[in-house]
Amino acid sequence: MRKLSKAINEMIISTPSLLWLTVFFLIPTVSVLLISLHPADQYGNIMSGFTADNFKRLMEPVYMKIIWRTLWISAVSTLVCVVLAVPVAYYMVACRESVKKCLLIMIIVPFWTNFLIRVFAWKAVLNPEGPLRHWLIQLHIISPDTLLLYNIYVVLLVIVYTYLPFAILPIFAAADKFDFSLMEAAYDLGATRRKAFFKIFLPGISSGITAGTLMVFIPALGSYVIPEMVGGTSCDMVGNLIAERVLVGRNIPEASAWASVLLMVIIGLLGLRLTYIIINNFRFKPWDNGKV
Amino acid sequence: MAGFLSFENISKKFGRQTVLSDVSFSVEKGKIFSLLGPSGCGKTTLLRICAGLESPDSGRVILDGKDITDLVPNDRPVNTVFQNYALFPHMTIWENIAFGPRVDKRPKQEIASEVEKYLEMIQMTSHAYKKPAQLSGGMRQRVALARALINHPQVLLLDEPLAALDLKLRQRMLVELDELHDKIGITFVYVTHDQSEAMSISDDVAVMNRGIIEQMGPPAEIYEAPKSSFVAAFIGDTNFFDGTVTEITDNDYSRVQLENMGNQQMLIFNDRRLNAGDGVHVSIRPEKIDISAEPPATDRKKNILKGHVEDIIYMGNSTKFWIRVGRQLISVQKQHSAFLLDQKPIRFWLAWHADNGYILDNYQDADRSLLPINVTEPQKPEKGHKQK
Ligand SMILES: Nc1ncnc2c1ncn2[C@@H]1O[C@H](COP(=O)(O)OP(=O)(O)O)[C@@H](O)[C@H]1O
Ligand SMILES: [Mg+2]
Repeated sequence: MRKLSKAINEMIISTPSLLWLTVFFLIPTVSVLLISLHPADQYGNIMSGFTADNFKRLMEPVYMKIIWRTLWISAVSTLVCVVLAVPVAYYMVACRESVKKCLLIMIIVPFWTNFLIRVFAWKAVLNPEGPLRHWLIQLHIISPDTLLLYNIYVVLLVIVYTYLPFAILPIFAAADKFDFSLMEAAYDLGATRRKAFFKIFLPGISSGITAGTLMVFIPALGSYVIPEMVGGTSCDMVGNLIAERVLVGRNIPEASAWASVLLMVIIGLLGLRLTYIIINNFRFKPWDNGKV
Repeated sequence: MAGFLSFENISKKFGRQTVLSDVSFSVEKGKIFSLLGPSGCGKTTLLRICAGLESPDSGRVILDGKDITDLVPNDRPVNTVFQNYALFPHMTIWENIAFGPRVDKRPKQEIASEVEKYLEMIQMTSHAYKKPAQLSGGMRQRVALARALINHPQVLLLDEPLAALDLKLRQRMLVELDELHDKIGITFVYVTHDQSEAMSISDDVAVMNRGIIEQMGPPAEIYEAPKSSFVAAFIGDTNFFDGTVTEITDNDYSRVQLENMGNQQMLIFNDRRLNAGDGVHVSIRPEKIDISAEPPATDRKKNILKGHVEDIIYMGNSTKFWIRVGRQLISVQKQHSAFLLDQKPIRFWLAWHADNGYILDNYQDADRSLLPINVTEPQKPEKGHKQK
């Protein structure tokens, strides 16, 4: 009796969030997947019937190149973000409580400015007529015909700039919980600072690193504004293609097919992470009563 | 200073707080040396200085004739069993034990066989592939021990290794630890706040209080001949008497007039230079006092007092008597005294041999509060201060 009422209680409590997920996540996702399987007429309207043509078009070399570029830009910027975030977090947790708070606020403050405006600011800084390029040319760091804007490196730079806090925050949270007496134990057992960092600290904050990786990689995959504004045509990512298909090409099914590709990459990644967690939790069970 | 491991004039401050002031002692090779003291007295800090995890403001640490004060932790031939064990949670027991040899880059084959050996020693072979979180407290403690010992340290530092365990397990682990020490024969520095642990396991004990060592010596000496009121009260139970020397009878004894106890003078053992008129403080352990319902036989070196019962507490293995003599409450602890319980006399004779009273070198009133029950009558307020 009590068990039943508890189950009912849990259902009532979880209903709003389930409803939210259904309405705003499940239904749109499934619709996108379904639409991507419909053919389109020449005006881009969704027609009845099912076809895999939209996906076949993705296999064309031009498009494969864009998918490939999207993946590597996201991967590289994620790597850079995490590699920068770990030492920042390591330094932050060693600070006094008040300094720690200050640093946290400084990391969060940029969010108070609209994202578009921040990207515009980069555009202003890196502008061909801007002061930065001027100085760099005068100091002979770049040649006079080099543009700072509209190349793949700027896209990487601005993506890293935008998503770095998303890597720092979860990694900081994990590092803050990390028990630093473990580092002392490692030194005591003969480990150098370097060894202790890689063998004890990094595995100790692995949950933060995975969270940070996903927090950067997933939004980076869907980048649209950044390559659009600072990247130029040679830097198109899947996000730009989707926008182009919807706004210019007016081909909703094909746009959906592109979106589905991103979705599947993300779902695949989350699936991997879930499998990892499950395996990790059960890995040692079979040996519990067994031999070495 | 002789000895295998020596601390020479170690001082340490954290901010304005002095945690260690001019601490010196040395540990003999192959012995178990205990640092005993209440929590916050600086034991862990001293151990961390030895491990290299903290550096002293002044003073040196000498190990086997070499000055190791400025060595980094990983270059010191000492290993630590930490208070919370500090096992690596993401590694299996096997990997935890193998950590030292691995960073030492010993050959793989050798590491494997060594780890097996130590797993066997702590009887954890069947748990080799568990994570620390899956083990009980006692098992973790053994893993921490194996993880330290596999590096063949010259000195093993143990920081309250048994504090996290329950009483029964603590007693068993203490015996295991002692046997282990006999087997491997390396030097142990054992930190604890538990006097019975320190007493039972150590060859030598240093009693610490507020960053200084109050007394150092074999456990029996510390218990039987405490030099300070702190040591007397912290280790075991005791009675404190305040008095004045009235007469030096010969080289070894003096007569002392005790306050609060009428005109009676006590004969007290005395190995210091004292003069008549000196104020002294005396400690006598409750179990060193004989108690009887009949007057005891007299003896030249025996002090005999008459008092009446305030309270009797039966404790199973012994009985505790609170006896009032004059204005002083004296605690007495005796075994086999059921007859005294049956008879319920109200008067008792107390007797103790002059050798069992110790004149303290160093006395502080505050130390009386360390006793389970404060055995001195509270001072009556003076007349002028009396409130309505
Ligand atoms: N890193 C530190 N910073 C400031 N104070 C400390 C630090 N470590 C220890 N202390 C202080 O030093 C004193 C002694 O500590 P500790 O050596 O841990 O004592 P014990 O191990 O005997 O309980 C305590 O009052 C503690 O608060
Ligand atoms: Mg301590």
